[in-house]
Amino acid sequence: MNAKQLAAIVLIVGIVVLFQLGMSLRTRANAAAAQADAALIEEKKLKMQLEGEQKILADLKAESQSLIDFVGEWEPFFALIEDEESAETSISMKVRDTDMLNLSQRYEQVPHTINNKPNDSLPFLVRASLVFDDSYYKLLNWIGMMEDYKPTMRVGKVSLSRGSGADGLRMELVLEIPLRAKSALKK
Amino acid sequence: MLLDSRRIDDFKTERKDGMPQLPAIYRLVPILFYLSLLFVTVVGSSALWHSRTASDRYQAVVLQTDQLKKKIETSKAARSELQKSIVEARDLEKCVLASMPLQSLVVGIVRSMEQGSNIVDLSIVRDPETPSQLKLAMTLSGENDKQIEKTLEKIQELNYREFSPTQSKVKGNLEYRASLLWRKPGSKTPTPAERSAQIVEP
Repeated sequence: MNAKQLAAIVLIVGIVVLFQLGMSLRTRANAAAAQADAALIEEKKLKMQLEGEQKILADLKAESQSLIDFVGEWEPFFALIEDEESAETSISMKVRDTDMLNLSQRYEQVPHTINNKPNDSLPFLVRASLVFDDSYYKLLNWIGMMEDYKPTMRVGKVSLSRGSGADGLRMELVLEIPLRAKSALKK
Repeated sequence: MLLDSRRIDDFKTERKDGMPQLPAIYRLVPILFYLSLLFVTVVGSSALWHSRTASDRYQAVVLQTDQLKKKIETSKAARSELQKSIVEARDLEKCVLASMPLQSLVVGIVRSMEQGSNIVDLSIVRDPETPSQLKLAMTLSGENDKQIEKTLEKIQELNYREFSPTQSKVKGNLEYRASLLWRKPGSKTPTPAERSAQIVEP
């Protein structure tokens, strides 16, 4: 092989290398463009997803607005689990303040279930079992006063029978105060 | 003087040590080389420019998608929080609806008594598992046979519906037992003030 042939071969190799270089740069540019296009498609998908999420959230807010408003009105009347003692104390203070004859009072904390399912938001009840012996007016006024004082408190049992006095009544009363779990409610 | 025949440089005769010419087609090689240089310059620079533009566009889109992902996460978190609040609100609503005041019911039953009728004993027990359901047990004395109907009318006026009623006469007294189910009047959940307004004077 002479020098001319060698030079021609070197030039041919040079041509191939340059062509390959040009093609590889072009491929790289195409890949970058494809990556940007793919990112654009993903961005569009994400925009649609965000619109969907925001719509679901707005619908949920609109649907639950009355329920949330309702909770806002009643929330201050629900005692927290941490307030168990104060829930008991508030009843015993009211019992002490009244001038009715109180025969017994007992307090206990019981799990709160509805249809045998635990109520996660209101997991416990403070149950006060009270026995009074007094006049009809005093007893019924007192129940009314207690239901007004704590609207979330419910009467679990009321039993009226003849009392010791002439127009006296014996009343067995069970009051239940639901205790709220602190975690979930919005402040 | 004799000269060495190899030393003679004769321009008229062809040189024997010169390389033979390449075929004519090889003349294309340098042309192709220059063309490939041109190709690399044009295509390469164009590709580099496109590549840089695409890269910039990609970076901008990635920033945008990151922000969108964050917004989606925030929205999902807000939805999850709202759903938790809704679950809790439903629990509280159930509790409120199931804890209607009983004072007005007791007073209503007592007030329904007509002349000559008396309540010997009265018991209302809330079903612990279904708090909107009440077990009513009362013993009435007196001669008025219509008394129980009057009392039941009054109970219905107070939005209670009785079911599974039983009544029997024991030692001249009427023993009446039934389950009562409170019907929420209207679709609106009562406010604490409306709840308090249900309390009546005995």
